[in-house]
Amino acid sequence: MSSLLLTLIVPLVTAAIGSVGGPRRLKEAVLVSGLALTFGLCLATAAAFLGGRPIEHFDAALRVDGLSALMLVLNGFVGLLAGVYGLGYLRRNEDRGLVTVRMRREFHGLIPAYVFALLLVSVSNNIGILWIAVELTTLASVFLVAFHNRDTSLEAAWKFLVLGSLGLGFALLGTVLLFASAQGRLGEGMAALNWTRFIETAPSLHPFTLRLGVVFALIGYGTKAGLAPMHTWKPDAYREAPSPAGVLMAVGMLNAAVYCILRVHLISSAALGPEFSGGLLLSLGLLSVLVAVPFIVIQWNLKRLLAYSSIEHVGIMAIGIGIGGEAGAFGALLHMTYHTFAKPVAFFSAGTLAQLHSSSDFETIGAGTLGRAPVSSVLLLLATVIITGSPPFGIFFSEMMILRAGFAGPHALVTSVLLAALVVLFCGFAYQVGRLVLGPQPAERRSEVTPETLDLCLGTAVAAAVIAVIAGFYLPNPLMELIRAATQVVGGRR
Amino acid sequence: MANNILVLSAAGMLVTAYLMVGQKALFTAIRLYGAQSWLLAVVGVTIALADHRPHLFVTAALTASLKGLLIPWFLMRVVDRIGIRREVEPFLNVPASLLICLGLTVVGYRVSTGFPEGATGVAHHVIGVGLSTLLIGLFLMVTRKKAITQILALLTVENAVFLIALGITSGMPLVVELGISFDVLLAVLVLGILVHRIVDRFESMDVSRLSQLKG
Amino acid sequence: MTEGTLATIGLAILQAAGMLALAPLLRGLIKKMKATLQTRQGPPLLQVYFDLAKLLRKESVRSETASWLYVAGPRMYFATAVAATTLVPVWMAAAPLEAAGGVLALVGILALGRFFLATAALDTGSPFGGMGASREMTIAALAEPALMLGLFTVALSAGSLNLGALVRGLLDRGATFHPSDILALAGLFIVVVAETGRVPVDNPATHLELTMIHEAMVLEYAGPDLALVEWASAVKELLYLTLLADLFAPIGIATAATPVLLLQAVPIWAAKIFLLAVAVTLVESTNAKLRLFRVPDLMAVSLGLGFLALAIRFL
Repeated sequence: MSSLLLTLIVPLVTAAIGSVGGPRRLKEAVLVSGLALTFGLCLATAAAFLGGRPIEHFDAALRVDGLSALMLVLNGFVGLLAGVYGLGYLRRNEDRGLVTVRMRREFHGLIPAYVFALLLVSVSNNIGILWIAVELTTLASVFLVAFHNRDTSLEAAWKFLVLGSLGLGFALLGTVLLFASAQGRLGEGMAALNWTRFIETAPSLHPFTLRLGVVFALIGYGTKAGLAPMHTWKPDAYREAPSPAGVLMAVGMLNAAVYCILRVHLISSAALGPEFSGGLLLSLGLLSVLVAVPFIVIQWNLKRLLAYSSIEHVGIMAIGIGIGGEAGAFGALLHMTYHTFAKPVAFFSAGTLAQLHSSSDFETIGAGTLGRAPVSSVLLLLATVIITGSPPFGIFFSEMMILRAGFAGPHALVTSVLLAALVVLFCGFAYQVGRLVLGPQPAERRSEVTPETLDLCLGTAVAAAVIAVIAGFYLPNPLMELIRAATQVVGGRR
Repeated sequence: MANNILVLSAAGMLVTAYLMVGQKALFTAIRLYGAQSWLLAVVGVTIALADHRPHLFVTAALTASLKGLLIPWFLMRVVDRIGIRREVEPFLNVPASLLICLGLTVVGYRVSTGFPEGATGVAHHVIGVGLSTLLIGLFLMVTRKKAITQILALLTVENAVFLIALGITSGMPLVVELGISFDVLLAVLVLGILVHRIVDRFESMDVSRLSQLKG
Repeated sequence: MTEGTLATIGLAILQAAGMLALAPLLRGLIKKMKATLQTRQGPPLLQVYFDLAKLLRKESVRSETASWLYVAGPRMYFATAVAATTLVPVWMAAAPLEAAGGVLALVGILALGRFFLATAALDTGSPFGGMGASREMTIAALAEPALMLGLFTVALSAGSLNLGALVRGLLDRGATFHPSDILALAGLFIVVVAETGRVPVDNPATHLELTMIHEAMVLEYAGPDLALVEWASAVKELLYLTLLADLFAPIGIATAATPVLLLQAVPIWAAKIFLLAVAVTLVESTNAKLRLFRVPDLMAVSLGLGFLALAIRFL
């Protein structure tokens, strides 16, 4: 059995084991080892891809090309990180008597199931299977959003599910229309929906049907990615989901949705030229960045702040894809990679702060967290510096690359608006976090809050921070090769 | 003959969508959805017979059993258990809603003429009805407040997508349709459980109460 | 008087007499089926005939304050119902008096009867009569345009507003359907349910003052007057179902006045009416009566379906 199939089977088995009862220690061991094994298999699959030709299964419904390999590595990494942090998160809540048997079972079952769905998205070459996998990610994450069973978490889960299902309805219609645009030239069997087959027959696709299909598919998958104006579920879901699930949504789901968008964009580019879907992505992306601006500046909740930051970043990626060309695509993929490494640090440190204060509202947390939870506060500051795109770190370079590609092409106006928005966003985000971390300590605060202790959560956060800093300066050579291979896919050379 | 059955069943689906807009009893709405799914299955069987596509029989059987029986039964159980029978006054009254749906139908029909398959003949009606039903489903989704009605609206949208798929391509590959059907079933189960939890906590399934989260 | 005119008059009388004779049977049939669905024994199939016979033998009791309108109401209602039967093709693909008018005449004559009945109900000054009349007219105001829209849609595809020519046109067109047909059918079915005073619009079996519509209007009548009203209502119901059968399934109707074709047409007609009666029974048994102020919503749906049918015709 190939490493690709194992990559999918292992998290599924882990989920199955996790969702039944059992001794706590054993379940924890299963979760961590399952996710670690999954990540290892992702790396092995990517290495196998780098070593030779694309890997295919089931009539090429599952297929690893450069883009898929990159996705596998990134999502596998996030899955492992979220799993380990999640154990620490559960332990902490357990100490405070907040964990029921149902919660434990849900958590141990749903996290690996979510990882499975994300990995399935990453290797789907069949746009039908792709849709099914995205729906699975939604279903796996609903109960993670509703995890705490508060009024607000149910509200967030409801919005998430209804908006997500609506988006998926659109995506399904888009898929149907894409299939229809080929007017039977794709054949009958399952392989008819293969993305590679679409690219081969691209010039003969019917333009009206294809256009409509692309619009619906982009809106649908854009909803899952959180592109404005379909982003409204995101702040609610991020605030209510436990931090480990939040990371999976903010990084894994975002990557997966961008992957879907890329596949659709590539079909559209091959048939209609890059302007049509590229223009759509440019406008959606710019709108997302602009929507994030006011909400980041006036934000009142730490996790919602992260959500808007994630809307901003998906917007930047969409702009990068929309600008297109080798440079734009490379910038977008590089941005996605750096974002994958940096975002967990922000979520983990914010999660610790929120857990210590039993809330993620700025008002409840209170200013001057540096005195109460020094490690998390420093990590949060560090994460802020990285994800806002400050110079020595990678995101700065990927953003620069996208901007430069934009100014070089015909989209100078969009790019200058983006540049301005990025500056404001940098200031806004830094201001919010700076105020929270460095502000004057309220006098009566100190006694109520349990001090930060060095546990699994904090350990994971520190480890993630170390990885993020290293990755910010230096990406290992195989990873760079994967990004280049993915750029080639996006650039139109398979 | 086949064409007649196609046109009649497709138009029947539009009628059920329209009746859903026109009334508020939840049980009736669920029954209408069930009837709509059966009509969709009839469309599937007819195309399967006329075009000799045996795999559409499987799709039709799935549609009838899952969406025609299982999902309505499950939703009725949910309605029974939570004891709420009627939609509250929607954001728009019935005549205004109907008028808007009328406009949506015209739009759906116009758009269908853009497809190479949809300019004339039976496919024109099937795609036109599909697009109209899709738009009506979306309209229901934004104007109704009860969670169950929103689920039904989602399912209507999904039925409409299937109808469009049948009209425009004579169906997707079987594996994909199987996967989609089971995903839909799963989604309904998840939605049902969520409705249950919402009612447990809020003692209401009025979605407009879910409005604490802002900014 | 020419022979043709005589034949026409003869046909008209025959058709009216046949409808009058069979209408109470339809009422009885629906009552019986409803009872069976509720696992009751129900009244005998012919009970409506017995009731009518009993009422006709009784003495009329009239209010002292009532004017000639009160006396004229039931008679006009009955007369218009009978007149309407001659405008609709029942067993033959031609209405006996189709030269006298088409769809518009039919709707107008039925409206005239309703007008007289409602005026008569107001005449005695009883509060129930007035309430019933106002409710009946409210519903009629919405049902009539819906009826016309539905009929127009079908007329459009057949190319004639004359019911006889319409049915012949439909027969010529053969069995090809347009989506507007089913939309019009759905709209017209709701109209029929409303016009015949059945659940979910009205409940023919109750005398609860809060909910009744038609029954409130005729509450004052007794004896032969009441018999006329009941009988006319039964005829109208049969007429409406016949109309539905004509417009949406004209197959089997006699295309010429030969005995063989007529002998075939009558059982086919009976079967169609029976199926429609089953549908009415099912609707009555599976739905709860709507609250009165919800009824306009239902009528709006029927009106909307009519508009939709007409719109789709042109798309």
